[in-house]
Parts: sequence; structure tokens; C-alpha cells
Amino acid sequence: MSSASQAPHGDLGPVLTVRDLEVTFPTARGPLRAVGGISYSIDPGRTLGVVGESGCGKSVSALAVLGLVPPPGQVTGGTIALGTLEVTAMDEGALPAIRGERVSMIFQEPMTALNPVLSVGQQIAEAWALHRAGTAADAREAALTMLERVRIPNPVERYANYPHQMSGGMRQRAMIAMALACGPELLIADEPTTALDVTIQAQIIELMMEMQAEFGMAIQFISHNLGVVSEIADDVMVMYAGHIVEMASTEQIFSNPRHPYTKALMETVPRLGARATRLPTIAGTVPDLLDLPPGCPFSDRCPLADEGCRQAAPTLDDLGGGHLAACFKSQEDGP
Amino acid sequence: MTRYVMGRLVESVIVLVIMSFVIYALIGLMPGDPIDLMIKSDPRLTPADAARLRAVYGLDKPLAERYLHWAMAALSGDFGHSRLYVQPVLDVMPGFLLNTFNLMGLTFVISIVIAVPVGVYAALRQHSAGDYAINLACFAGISVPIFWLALMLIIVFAVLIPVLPASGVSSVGGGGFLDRARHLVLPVVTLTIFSIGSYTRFMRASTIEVMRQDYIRTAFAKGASRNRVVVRHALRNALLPVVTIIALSFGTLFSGALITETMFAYPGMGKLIYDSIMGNDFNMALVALLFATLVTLLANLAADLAYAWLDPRISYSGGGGTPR
Amino acid sequence: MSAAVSQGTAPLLEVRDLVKHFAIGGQGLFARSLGRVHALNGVSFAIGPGETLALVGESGCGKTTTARVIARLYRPDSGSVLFKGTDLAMLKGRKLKSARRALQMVFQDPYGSLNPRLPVSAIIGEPLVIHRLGTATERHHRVETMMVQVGLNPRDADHYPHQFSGGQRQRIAIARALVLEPELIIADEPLSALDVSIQSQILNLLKDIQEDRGLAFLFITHDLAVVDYFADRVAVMYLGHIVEIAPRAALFSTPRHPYSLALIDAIPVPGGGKRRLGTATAGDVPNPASPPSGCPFHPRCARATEVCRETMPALAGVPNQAEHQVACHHPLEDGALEGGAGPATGAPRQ
Repeated sequence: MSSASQAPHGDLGPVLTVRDLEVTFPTARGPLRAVGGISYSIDPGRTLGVVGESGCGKSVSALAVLGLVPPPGQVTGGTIALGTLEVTAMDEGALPAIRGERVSMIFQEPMTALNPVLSVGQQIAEAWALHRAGTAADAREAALTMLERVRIPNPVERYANYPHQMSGGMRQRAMIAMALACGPELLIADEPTTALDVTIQAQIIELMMEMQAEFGMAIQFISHNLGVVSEIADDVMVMYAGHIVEMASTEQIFSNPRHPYTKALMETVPRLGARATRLPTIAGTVPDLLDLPPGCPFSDRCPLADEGCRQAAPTLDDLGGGHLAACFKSQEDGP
Repeated sequence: MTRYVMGRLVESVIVLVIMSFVIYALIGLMPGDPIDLMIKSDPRLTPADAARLRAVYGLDKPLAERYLHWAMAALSGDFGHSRLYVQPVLDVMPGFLLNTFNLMGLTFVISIVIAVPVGVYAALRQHSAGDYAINLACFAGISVPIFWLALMLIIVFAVLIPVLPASGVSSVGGGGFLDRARHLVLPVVTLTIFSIGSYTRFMRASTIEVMRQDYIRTAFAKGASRNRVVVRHALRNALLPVVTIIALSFGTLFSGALITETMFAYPGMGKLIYDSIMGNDFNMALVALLFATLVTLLANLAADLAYAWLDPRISYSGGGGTPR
Repeated sequence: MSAAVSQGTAPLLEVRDLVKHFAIGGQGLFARSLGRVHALNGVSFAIGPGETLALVGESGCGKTTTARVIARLYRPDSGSVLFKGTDLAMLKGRKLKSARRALQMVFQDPYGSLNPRLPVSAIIGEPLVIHRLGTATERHHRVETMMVQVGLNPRDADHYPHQFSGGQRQRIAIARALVLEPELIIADEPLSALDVSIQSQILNLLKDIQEDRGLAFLFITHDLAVVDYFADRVAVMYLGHIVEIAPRAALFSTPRHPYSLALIDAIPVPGGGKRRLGTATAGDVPNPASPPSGCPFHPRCARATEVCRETMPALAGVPNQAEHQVACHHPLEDGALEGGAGPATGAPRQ
């Protein structure tokens, strides 16, 4: 693991810069804009939490970073850059060289995300061997080291295990080992704890924080669970219907949410000890991306929406102190 | 594992015993018996003669008793005489068996060697012109009546352009390796065209399904090239369901060969079964049908073992199959 | 409400010492069984009329099996399920039908539990048809009323399940459960498949039903925050045992079982700051096919001693709190939530 923690960051600026990213899926009812022009960046060693409900574009935009938008979807606009390397300008055939090497990804279901007919060790060794020169024995050695680093007991024994012989938590540990085998600058985690039990979820969150301290990678952590994001993220970005509606430091966003959707999301989740007679709810349903209201996409569910909100879409603006929100109402209020 | 295989073999024997009775009973229920045939061919035979003959052959006894008698003899290795071939049944079988195995084995190997890569190719280029062409060819192969196909091949390659023999296993007096191989070409091509379509379709469907799985996305995400993803991660998973289908079709291949063997006057098991049933050769038909059953059972067992070998989640030895 | 059971009024539902093991492996004539999954190892509890009992725990703890045994989808190996004092297994014919009518289920996956080929009106009305209640017109009105009550538009009665969103489908499932006016609803993770903003809508709906109709609920979930909001009493399950059962407030303020504390501690709090390293409970949930000896939680428990490895503690009342029962040799004292009596930490063990 010679190059593990010496990835070329430092003063080079953000590890990931996304500008006006747009992802579109052609459908029978017309083009569906899953991601509608979003911009954000992640600095080295930082963790960005991405929050939103199903269909908000949080997973698709993450897959776009690896050039893995499922067909027939396509990146139809904007740029993605890893450091100074512009991924969106790269040839399809050159992408495998950066996947797993500079940016890795782990997924929600560690059971289905691992190949059932290959041993866990083989799969980790492969991740190493794809980007590093070395013999099969070297790859095995690297995989064993990784198993140990993600705190899997008896690595030699576990190396030969197949995914079905491991528990959910162990499998997610193995996924993390695989993702970090080449010491990437950025780890994208798409709902990595959603399928796990709460006590195991806590273990995996801790492991990811420890790995970040050891390997120094930045993390883009996608989750629908505000609590989980709040436990791990430095910054939070809230998405709705393919747009970023609010972005700020974790502290700012939880202490002073500015977008009505963010506020509503926080109030609507039942919390321990905050026993109200009724939970506040968000009216309506998760939006149909082919049938969005004109103007602000949240306007048809927003308690504050007026005529202006239904006419034009607000832009994501700084309300002061790096707290960004896309809402006419919060922009009126001032910081 | 050994315990599992032993268990399965015992099960197979039980199935064989049951099948032997079923087949025996079905043949017994068929209209006509050998004596009827004798009566037809020899008008001088009186009803009294017929009854006496029936008593000699034991045909006047109830079915169950006749079956028991046959089974006891079979257990001691005596499967009876073939009426048509005038030889002990067990001496007739090997020649036919060898011919069928040549035909079937070749067809089988050629079909799979072509179907697997072609199916994967079509799956990876779903909805492309190549995919449509392959699908069309597959459906054509599946839908064409096998006797018509055989006739066309004979007309084209044995009559219009006489490069290949139209029937038999070898030329009269000949019988060298090349000669026998030339005789195999047309029947093998016929059967291959017939069976390759469904194998290709299964392989295509299975590959499409596997390519949608999460672990394929993981393989791409760690930087594997497309070829590597297909060969290392998709192929083995895609083969799993296909193995079962191929093994199950092995039995069908046996009976499907009947038409082909008849068309090409090829003395194989299909033709043997057909001829012995038509000729009221009970002993022969019974043993040949039982043998076909045995082949199907063994093919099933082989499929299950292949499945366990390909898929670590399946374990017949116990222990390893449970998580943690 | 919650005191119904202890006050001596007959419980609506009583579960006594349920045991359910599943055989694993082995098919065919000569296959041998590879072992048994101990899904339930003697589960007992009671629910009073109008009371909500939450059954919480992680995967493999037996909460869903318990629900299925009560709904008679599984037959228990031993133990009994008493509905209004009568053993459900003894009921036949009309009595069984009326007991079934009084006990309805709502499942986790609202799509999988609705017949995709039936329009919503038929799905909601089907229980009425099965139980031969009312004329066609009466049934029609009843379905419309139900749809309004669960927040569906009666004009959508002819639509099929796939035309509804996940939240609306769960409303359909709830309407179907309510149409027979049951006395007890078993809800098995009714929120897990829904989006965050939809969960609160459904939870509010269930709360309204609970309050307006005085229905009893057996609410099965892994989410303790929802339990705090919805339940009167809470039973915490671990590997087929109830390890703690208590009134809601008592469980959340003074949990007695280390596992209950671990569950509460593990819930991430929005805005609660970054996770403190080293506070997660170590170890995996054991495999129910080979449960640990003694107390099933001992391999993950910081308080475990020799006795925990040897004997399973019985569920017993906490002194001076008859309703608060815990199965632990070394139960937590008051103030465990704030104090440092946290569960074991360190590397995961097997």
C-alpha cells in the first residue's frame, strides 16, 4: 500500500469539481432530467453529505462522476473534474484507469454488490491488481492487508469466504476494503448503511471515519437519513427533483436550515424524546420528474410558495457565510 | 458431497424401478402383441395355437405377474431376447448406443461452443442489428420442422451438389474414420441447427439479466474493462441457469434424434426405440426406454453437480451454505 | 391505556411461550437436515384493548416470525396465541372467521401485498366479500368511506396498484385492514419501504386511526424513534428472546438491558454532531442457527461475566416497577443513558 495515503492532493484545490451537471434519460413520455444542472465541489479529506428522497438525483449524479450513468441515461451537460483531470472530456476507454484508482464507490446492498461466485479476497485483490503492477501473490498480500485495515478478524480465513458466508456488516467492510485498495482521492458511498441494522450502521460509520483519518480520502456520502449524514459529514447538500436546494456546513444546515424543504425534512422525521402529538408532514408526494411544476420544483408542496415561486426557478445563492439556498423566500429574509 | 451423490444415485435407482413398471405397463396396454403379429403373418394359425403360444410366452398371465417375472430375470442380468434382431437385448444395444453418442455428443459440443459466445455477444449488443440477426436466426432454427430441414440438407448436399452421403453410418464395405465422419456431417448439422437456437436464446437472456446486477456495476466501478467484466464477472453467473437447461435438454435431445435418425437412416437409439415399438419388440423397447430414462436422470445429477461447482452458494455437503 | 394488562382486565391478545424453529438445508429423499434456526425461544407478552405494543430489534431477532405466528401464517412448535382468552389454534369455522376479522395485518412492502390485477375498490372490498358482509351497494359505500378515511380519493377506486405511489399503496393496504373494523392490527415495518417525507404522513394516519378507533396495535419496527412516537409499551427482542419489555417512557429514560441501551445509542441524531469514535457496539448479530450459549447478547456485552456465558437470564420485573421487565444478570442502573455505562467497544468480534 505504498501510495495509499500520498494521493496528489494538497494545495491543488478540490478533489472533485462538478459544474452545471445535467443527466438525462430518454423515456416514452419525453426526456427525463434526473439531474438538472448542479454544481458543487469537495475539498481533499472532507466529507460531503448528500441528502434527498428517491428520485432526487443523488445516486445518478454520483454515478456520473465515475462515468457509470446506467444507459440509456447520459450526461447531457456540464463538466466533472477530478483534481485537474476533466472526466467528462475523457474517452470512454480511458475511464477504467481512474475508476478504483482515483475515485471509488460503495453501494447500498453489500450482498448484491459483491459477485456471489468469487471469494471476497479475490474481489479485493482484483481491485488492487487492476491498477498496480505485481504478481498474484502481491495482490493477495495487498488484499489481506486491506482486510486487516477494515478490522475484519482472521483475514486469511476471510479471504477465502464467499459473500454469502459473511454478515451484512462484514460484507460492507469488505466493500470498503475493495474501494480503498488503491488509495483513491475520493470515495463515493451511496446509502452504505441503509441496508444494515442500527448497531452495525454505527460500526460502519465509525469505520469510514477511521479510514478517512488513515487514508485521507474525501467522501461523498449519500443518504436519505439526516441523522446518519449529520454524524459523518462536514458539509451537507440537500437535493430535490434533480436540483441542489441547499448547501452549507453540517453545523449551519442543522442549526439553521434555510430552504423550506430542508426545514420540512428535518421536522418530519420522528426523533427520540421529541414526542409530539402529530408529526409535521410535507404535503403531496415525491415529485414526478416528467411532470414538475413550472418555476421552483418544490413550489407545489411548499407552504411559503407564492405566484413568484411558480413563475421562475430560484438560483442557488450564497446567503452569507457559505450557506447556499435556492429559495426566493430565504433570499428575501437575508442572512 | 459423496453422501449427496450416493443419495441421488439411490433415488435414481428407485425412479428407474418405478419407470420400468410404468413402461412395462404402457407397452402391455398397447393394442396388439407379438402373437397378433404372428397371426397376421401366418393365416394358418388357429385361435387354439395362438392361445397356446400366449401361454408359452406367458402372455396370458396378469400384467403384474409378467412384470415381476421380467424384473426377477432382469435382476439376474437377463433382459431377454430381441424379437426383431434375434439376439439378446444387451448385445443389440451397444452398436446403436455408440452411434447415438457420436451424433449427440458432437451436436452437443458444437452447439454449446457456438451458442455461448453468440448469446453473450447478442446480449452485450442488445437491440443492435447483430442482435436482431442472431435472434432471427435462432427463431428460424427453433421453428423449422426438423424433417424438412433434413430433407433440404439431403437435397442440397447429397443430391444437387453430391458432396456428402445422405444416409447410414458408413459406406458399404468402407468404414474408415473419414468415411464415418462424412456420414455424420448432415445429421449433426441438422440437430445442431435445431438445438442451437434455444441455447443461444437462453444464454442471451441470462447474460442480459446478469449484466443488470449490482456486482457488475461494482466491477466497473473498480476499474475493470468491459471485456474483463464480461469474462470474469458476468460469464460464470450467466452460465448458471443455462447449465440446468442444457442438462435437461439432454434427455430431449435423445428423443429429438428419432426424426433425424429416421430421415438419415442412421441406426441410433431413437431409431431403435421406434423400430422396436412398431415391431412389438417388447424386450428391446423396454430396455431402450429405460436407458433413455437413465441418461436423463444422470444428466440431471450432472447438472446439479455442475451447479454446485459453479456456484459457491450451493453446497451439498452441509455447513458451508449458512451465513457467518 | 397501557395499564390495561396489569389491571387485570382480560388482554385482547396474549402470547404465551412461543417457540418456533425452522429446519435449514436438505431437500429430497436422502437429504439430512443441516440444523435449526432458532427463530423464537419462548416469547410471551400481552396486548390490552386499545394498546400499542412495539416489537423492536435487529434482523434475525424474531419479530417478524412472531407476527406471522400470531397471524397464523406459521404454526408455532409450542406455546399458544390467545385472542380474547381463546386459543387461536383451537378455533374452527365461524369462530375462527370472526377472530380473523378482528385481527388484521399491514405489511412492509405495500406493492408486494396488493394484487396487481385488481382495482383498488376490489382490493379494499375483498375482505367484505370473503366475510359476506353487506350488499354490493353497501360494500361500495363502505369502500368509498374507507378510501376517504385513509386519505385516498374515491374517484381513484378503479385504478390499479401500480398507478399509485408507495405512500398511497400503503394507504390502500391500511384501508383493506380497516374495512372489517378489526380490534387489533399487526403492522410489520409499515414505514420501511417509504420515502422520509411519506413516512410521517403514514405514521400520522396510523396515529389518527389509533386514537379515533381505539384500535390495538402490534407495531413491528427496527426504528426506535418511531416507537417513541407511536407505542405505549415496547418489547425489545434479540435472537428470539424478549430481553426487555417496559412502558415506553421507562424504556427510553431508564433502559435496563445493555442491548436496549445499545439500540438507543446507535440511533443517529440529526444535528447531534459528528459520531464519537469508539461508541458503536462491537460484534455482529449472531447467527440464529448457532446461537451463543447463555445470554445471546453476551459476546457483544461489556458487562458480561461467567454467569452470562452459561445461563440465559429469565425475564423478571425491575424492583418497584412491575411493568418493567428485563432479562439480564447485570441490568443497568438509573442514568445509564447519560453515564459511561455504554456497551462494549473495540474491534468487531465473531
